[in-house]
Amino acid sequence: MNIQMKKGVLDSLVLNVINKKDTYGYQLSQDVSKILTVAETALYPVLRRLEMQDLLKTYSKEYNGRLRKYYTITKKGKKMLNSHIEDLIELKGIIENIMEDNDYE
Amino acid sequence: MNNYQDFLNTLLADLDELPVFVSENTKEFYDSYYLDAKESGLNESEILEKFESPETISSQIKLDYYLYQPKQAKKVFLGLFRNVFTRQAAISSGKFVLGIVTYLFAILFYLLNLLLKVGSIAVLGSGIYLIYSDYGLILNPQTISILATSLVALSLFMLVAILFEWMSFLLRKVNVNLLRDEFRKLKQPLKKKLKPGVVIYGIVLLISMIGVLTSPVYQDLTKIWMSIEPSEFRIVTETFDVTDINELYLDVRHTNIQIEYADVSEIEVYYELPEYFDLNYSTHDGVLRIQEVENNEIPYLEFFTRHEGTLDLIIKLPEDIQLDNIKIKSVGSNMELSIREVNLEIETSTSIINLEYTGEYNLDLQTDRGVVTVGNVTDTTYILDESNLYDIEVDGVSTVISVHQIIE
Repeated sequence: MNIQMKKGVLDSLVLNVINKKDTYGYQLSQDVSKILTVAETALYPVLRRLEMQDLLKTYSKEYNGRLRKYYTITKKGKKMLNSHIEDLIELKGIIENIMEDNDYE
Repeated sequence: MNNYQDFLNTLLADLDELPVFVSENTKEFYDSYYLDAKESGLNESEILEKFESPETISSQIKLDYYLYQPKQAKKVFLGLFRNVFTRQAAISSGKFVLGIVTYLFAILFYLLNLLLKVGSIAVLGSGIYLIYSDYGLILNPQTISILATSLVALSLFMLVAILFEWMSFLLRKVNVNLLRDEFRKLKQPLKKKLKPGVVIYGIVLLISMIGVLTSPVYQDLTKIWMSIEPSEFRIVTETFDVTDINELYLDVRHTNIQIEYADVSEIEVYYELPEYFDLNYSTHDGVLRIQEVENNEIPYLEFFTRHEGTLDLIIKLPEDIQLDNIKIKSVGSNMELSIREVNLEIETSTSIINLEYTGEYNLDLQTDRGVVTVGNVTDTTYILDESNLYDIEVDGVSTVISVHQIIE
């Protein structure tokens, strides 16, 4: 997928995954990469940005004798996710329209 | 890049220009990520294969930092501020201060209430003290009015005290509500029944007010001090058996007393009362009137008597009253003393008594021995020594006056 398109949906995807369940860096990259091919480490700047934007926040949990940072969605993050979903519905219409026009099945 | 440590070092070196916490967070994330990946069974090169280049990551982080971090910094500050001065904290601290203020006022009102209660007892006590004499409590309209007045004061004090207590109670109630969130343990007993007190003191007030309002003292304050209505101030009534009484003790402090026997004899005593005035009076019959004169007048005595027999009048005065000068004079134009075989004794601590007759009037002394007329006597002073009898001889007829000191 085009890198610009990827960037556009990556935020929504990350927020959606974390909205379902609080998760940590590696697990998140696993979940995301099932859906979207993305360099796993590229997630970190995204998570960092979302956190700076107050869409996500973190808490630490002990695991195997070390602290693992978990990401959880904020109220603001949920709102943002909903607005992303509205955008995606609109995008879906655009996509379907483009598909029909090109007889792409 | 085949080595995780190299990857991390390169990445962190690129982030050098940013604050330390950025590289710390970054290191924390990748270390954790690397360990998690390893634990899932991947080896180092497999993990690193999926990594983007450190340059790409660091440039993105830097870009984000300059785009978002300042905002975040501001938010951090605001967040810190909010944590300390949150709305809830403001409300709580406001409540706390208000709670303390109301509690202080509650204490103040409670103390005022206590003060008034003590004061009301003091008022009643002083009322009783005022009318108390060496001979106990004497109840007459005036003393009753004093008592009633002090009862009015007492009940007013008590009612105000109850009001204050109630305010204190209310404030404490408010206080508890205010501080409930702050100090849940602070629960004061707030059951308070003040109604009975209000009813009781209301009734006391009503009754004592009636007592005061109907009292002659209240009706005419000047009258009581200046003159008397004989019927109102009759202390000893017709039932008084005069023949059995040799000594009559009267507390005549701040009051007017008339002792009425038969109308055979009349004695009027005018005096000024700084404090106590003890009168020891004995007679077979007669009229004794004691009245107070206006302030600053020298005490003087006036006697009217038509009594046949022996009249003993003993006047004891407190030490602080100087009786060096007793003026015996008539109030009217003429003073008539009808004395038949009467020995008049004036007993006093002083040995000098000035008998001064001034003005243009005549003194008539009438005894069994005959009619004595004392002519106009002016500036005549008799110096009377202790235990001496003096004959006042006018026109050849004498009356005996004996003067001696009180032996106590």
